[in-house]
Amino acid sequence: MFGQLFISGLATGSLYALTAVAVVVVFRNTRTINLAQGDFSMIGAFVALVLIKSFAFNYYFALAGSVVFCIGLGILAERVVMRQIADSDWLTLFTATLGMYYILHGVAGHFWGRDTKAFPLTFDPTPINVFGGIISQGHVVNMAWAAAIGLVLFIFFKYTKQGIAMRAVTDDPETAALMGIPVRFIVLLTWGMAGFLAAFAGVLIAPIIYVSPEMMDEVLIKGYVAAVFGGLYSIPGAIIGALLIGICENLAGGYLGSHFKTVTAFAMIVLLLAFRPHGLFGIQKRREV
Amino acid sequence: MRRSYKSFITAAGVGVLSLAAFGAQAANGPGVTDKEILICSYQPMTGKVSSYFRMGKGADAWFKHVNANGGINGRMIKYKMVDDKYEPARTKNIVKRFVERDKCFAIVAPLGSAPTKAVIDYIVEKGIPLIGAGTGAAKNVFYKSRTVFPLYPPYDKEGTDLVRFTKEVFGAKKIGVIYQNDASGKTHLKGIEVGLKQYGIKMVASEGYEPKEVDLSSQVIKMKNANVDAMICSCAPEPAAKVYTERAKLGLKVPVVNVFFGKSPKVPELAGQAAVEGVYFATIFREWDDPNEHIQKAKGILTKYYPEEQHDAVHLWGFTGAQVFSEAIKRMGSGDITRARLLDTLEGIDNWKGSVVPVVDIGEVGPGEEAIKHLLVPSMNYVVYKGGKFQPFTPPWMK
Repeated sequence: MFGQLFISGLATGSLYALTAVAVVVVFRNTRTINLAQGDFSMIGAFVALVLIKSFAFNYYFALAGSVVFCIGLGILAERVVMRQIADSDWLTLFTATLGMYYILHGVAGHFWGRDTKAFPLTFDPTPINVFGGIISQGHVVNMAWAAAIGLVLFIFFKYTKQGIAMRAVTDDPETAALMGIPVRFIVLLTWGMAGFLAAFAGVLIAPIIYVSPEMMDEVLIKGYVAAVFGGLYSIPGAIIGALLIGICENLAGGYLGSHFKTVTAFAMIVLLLAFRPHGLFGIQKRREV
Repeated sequence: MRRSYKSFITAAGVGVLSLAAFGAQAANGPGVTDKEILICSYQPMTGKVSSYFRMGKGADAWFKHVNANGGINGRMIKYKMVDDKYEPARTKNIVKRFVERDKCFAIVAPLGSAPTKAVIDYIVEKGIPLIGAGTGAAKNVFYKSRTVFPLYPPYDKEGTDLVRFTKEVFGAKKIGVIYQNDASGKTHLKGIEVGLKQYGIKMVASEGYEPKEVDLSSQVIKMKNANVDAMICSCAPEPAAKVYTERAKLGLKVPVVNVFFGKSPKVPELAGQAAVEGVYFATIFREWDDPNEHIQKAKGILTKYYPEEQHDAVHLWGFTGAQVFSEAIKRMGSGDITRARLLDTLEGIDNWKGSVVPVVDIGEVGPGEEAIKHLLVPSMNYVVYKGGKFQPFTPPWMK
């Protein structure tokens, strides 16, 4: 049973991972906890579903269409909403994303209806055996995508000019601006990246949790917990946090009973923050006096 | 002099008219005028169980049809539905507004065990008739009140019957149960425990799930690990789809019977037909392809007002409550419409065959007696999902 619970938990954790990474990317560069991140994914899933069902796109073209749409959505959110209040305190930024959350919920419900819709199964439903645990091919592909995106992000932040500029903005936006880094563009890029990650998260998760305006609510909460778990600044931390939450939830559900499953993520975060207030991979910032 | 005489006449006239208007209002119940009856309903219009909003759509379609045909005895039915997302805390606020602000005459065809459990004390205390609520939770069905008219049998009785089903249809000796961790699932579980003793069956695994849970794999893994002979799934359509997907993935081939509120075309649509093939479902309503004239009429009405809807048994839950309410109002004639008269008229509906259910036969509930005598639909049947459709199935004890 352990092997199966572990593998299934890993698969679930991989579903949280992309959302957790997007939460971190936005927070690092804009000090914003983006409550609309899950809804970007939800919109991405609906867009892909429409492209597949109404325009007969195949899965990969629908995914590409969804990515383009969600990058546009992220950029639009930055230009229309977040840029106007960029200098505000964190609570204002947080509230603005809450507003976007409700607007996107309403828009999706209005255009696509509120009931749950099936997303076409894109992979052979025959499961495969991995280390004594059974896992669906869809989950394996999801994990592979999540790993590939993690790798792309690593290369982007480590070796590209824009990635290094983004890290500079993360570390000290004022100094970055003095050094000629276009901070506004970097922030725009950040929201575009949030859209990019959202589209992947939405389309990958849709066949598993189905498509509805509320589909990402629970995933966003778990993704956020994973991001905090990893320290809110660390992308690897967010990924590891997401996988750990998925695994621990499933093990708790399996060994302690299903009642313990849903509280596990929160128990983990409370415990971790009690002993490591800056998260698993977070950096403790010293306050100047 | 002439002027003051005129003023007196005018004042007297206004006074008489006001009194007449007041008298008319006083004679009718709250929310009722000579032109309109306001009735209300809370529904999960959005949220994880929004597929149950079909109940509200069914009731709404029926009332739209009634109004399009001139209303009932000259009165239009205004059916107000408000979204509670199946969250009892929201339901409480909504029902308070129904009573205090909107002055709803009755609450008709609302949905949900947990939401109804949260508000039934208040509804009964205020004397509002609660007609055809979509709930089988014990508290709601056995409530000691004459103002409650439950729609279908209590979940505990269904739970007991499903244990019998696993024994007599599947030949099971040890079973596993997956249930929704709320009033509906826990009431099923209570009934299942009664059934276990009654039919000499062991429950070797019971796993709950939260309606919003992303992944139900650990629950199904536990079923597999417990080596059960059969499973009972007290699951709503979306979670049921997740359970059957996981069951197929793990190659768990034990037979399953699902409670009636999970019987929906959404299940094979979400999980895929192969994953649901051979799953049995309890059901209390007729199938939509039943040639019965009332079903076919309801089909036409639903298609007219909600053309995008895929026909589902849950629509019929709404039709039932709405049709019974309409029948009572029709029988009350064009006179004053009061809650007391409504209760008397509903209790007088005897062997009535004019709705989507075969027969409505409402009993009388005396002081201190339970509302179960008011059940609108007392019997339960079974179907099996085979070859892409739900097919009738008769267990041995019903033959």
